[in-house]
Amino acid sequence: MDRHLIAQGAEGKVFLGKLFGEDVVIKERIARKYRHPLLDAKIRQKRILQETRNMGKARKEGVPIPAVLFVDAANCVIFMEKITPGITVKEFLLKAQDVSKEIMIDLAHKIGRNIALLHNIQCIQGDLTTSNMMIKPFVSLGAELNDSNDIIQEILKNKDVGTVYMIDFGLSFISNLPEDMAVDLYVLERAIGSLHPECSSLFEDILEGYKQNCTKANINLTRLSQVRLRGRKRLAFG
Amino acid sequence: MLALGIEGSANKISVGIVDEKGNILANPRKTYNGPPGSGFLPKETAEHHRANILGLIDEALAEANITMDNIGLICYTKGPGMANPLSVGALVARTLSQMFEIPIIGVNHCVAHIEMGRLVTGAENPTVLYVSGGNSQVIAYNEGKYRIFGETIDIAVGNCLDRFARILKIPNEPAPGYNIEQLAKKGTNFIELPYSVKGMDVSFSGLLSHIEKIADKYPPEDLCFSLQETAFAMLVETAERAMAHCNSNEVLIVGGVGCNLRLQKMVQEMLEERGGMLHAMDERYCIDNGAMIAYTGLIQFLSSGGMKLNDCIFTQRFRTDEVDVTWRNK
Repeated sequence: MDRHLIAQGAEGKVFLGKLFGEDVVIKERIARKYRHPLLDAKIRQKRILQETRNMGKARKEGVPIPAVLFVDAANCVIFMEKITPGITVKEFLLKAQDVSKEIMIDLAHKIGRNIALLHNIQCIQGDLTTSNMMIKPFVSLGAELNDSNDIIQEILKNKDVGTVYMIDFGLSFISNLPEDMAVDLYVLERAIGSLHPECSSLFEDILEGYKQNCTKANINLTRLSQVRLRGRKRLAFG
Repeated sequence: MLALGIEGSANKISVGIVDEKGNILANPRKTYNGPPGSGFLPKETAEHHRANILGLIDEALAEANITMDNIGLICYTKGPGMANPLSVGALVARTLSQMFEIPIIGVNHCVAHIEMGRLVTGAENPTVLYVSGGNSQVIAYNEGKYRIFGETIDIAVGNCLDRFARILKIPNEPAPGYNIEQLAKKGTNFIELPYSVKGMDVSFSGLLSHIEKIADKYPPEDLCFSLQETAFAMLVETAERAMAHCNSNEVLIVGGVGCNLRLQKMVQEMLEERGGMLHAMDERYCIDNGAMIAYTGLIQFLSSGGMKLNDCIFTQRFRTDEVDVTWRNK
């Protein structure tokens, strides 16, 4: 099958390829030699099911998520919709110049809403970072977007980011604990702080969007302030 | 310049003498072990350290063929560790410093493991897997600090192994983890155990309580084998995540559990798939020792000076990322 590698993480590999003639993203969890074969099979099977299940649930709830097209559970491969034209939020924030306040708030509110909808169905994304979110802009008629700069220009021109997709549910899980939801948000806060320190109000604006859409926003945000105080870490011993 | 380092944060007491190039002139060590079925308790461990520390200092000086007049710096473990054992090293270090009018410096135990590892293996800027009886952390250097990318959210991996050794009543000599490793070599059947990785963090307490419950249902060899396979796979997975995050290609394993050859092999296999490189050490340097404290104290002293006697306290809680790493560039 014709495919080319676009990313390699700790879990597996991500390719671009074709399925029935359509462009798709192929995510494959490869067997790891260092793990005992029984343990390895168990972990990969469990995670691929968890991932696809949570993606399906979230999509039903109205969170923009790439559609899962086909799952090859035996080989631990997921075929999913390619977000095109698309750019990760990380790349947008790092590359785009002179982004208006209006667009930033629009982006933040959409991210906040997505997270809120996930938390409303007790879905914890588990790895919220700006590289796990993608922007798909509204494309004006006849516009050709060939690379990320074109996409950025299109977003800036539209004064609206378009649709913000949540991708990579590899570490997602189901939980109704405020603690897990608060940590989910805290992970994002830390990621934004270290990757986009200049976007100081971004996280605050995300929380604004979160509050408007999450049914248990108050409890979770109170918890978040506790998580912030203690940090994620325990104090080391011996 | 020669530095004398005293390490006594857990059940080992050790005195090391090094020069600023990292040559180790002496590094004797004594280990306190509880009886089978029991761990080492703070009071008894401190008594052991008190009984042995002066003898070890004499032994180290004799082995290096020098006297206290040749020593230019006294280093001791400031923390983290158990309070009573730590107090012995700190007290002796302060006394030596005043008696012989030698500068003194307190050292972070975890940072000392890392610096010793870099010295012995020549690793430049590795992702560090620090695994011992008290710690399980994945660490990488970034902007003046050793940052903790992932760690255990409850007990350390070594603690998990030690406590399981107590359940099986395996001898604590020479080390409970070593005896588990030997039993595990004979294990063949893999028993399914809870596997818990949360992003970059790991958890071992559920694994321990589960295996405690089934300990009498399976042969000890298979239990040890499955425990190692499961616990180490969790560590290797988080180490790999950290590597992907920091674009790093080397791994340095430090801490007592780092001597485990099965863990080293698993990390090696993970790295082969990525084209990376493993730096591992043997038990002389992996296990707590005085030379690592002496060497780290010395490079710290040369870059940012010593400490006032008033500041020479010890503390049970002292995080790896609290230390300003003044001796590394970038």
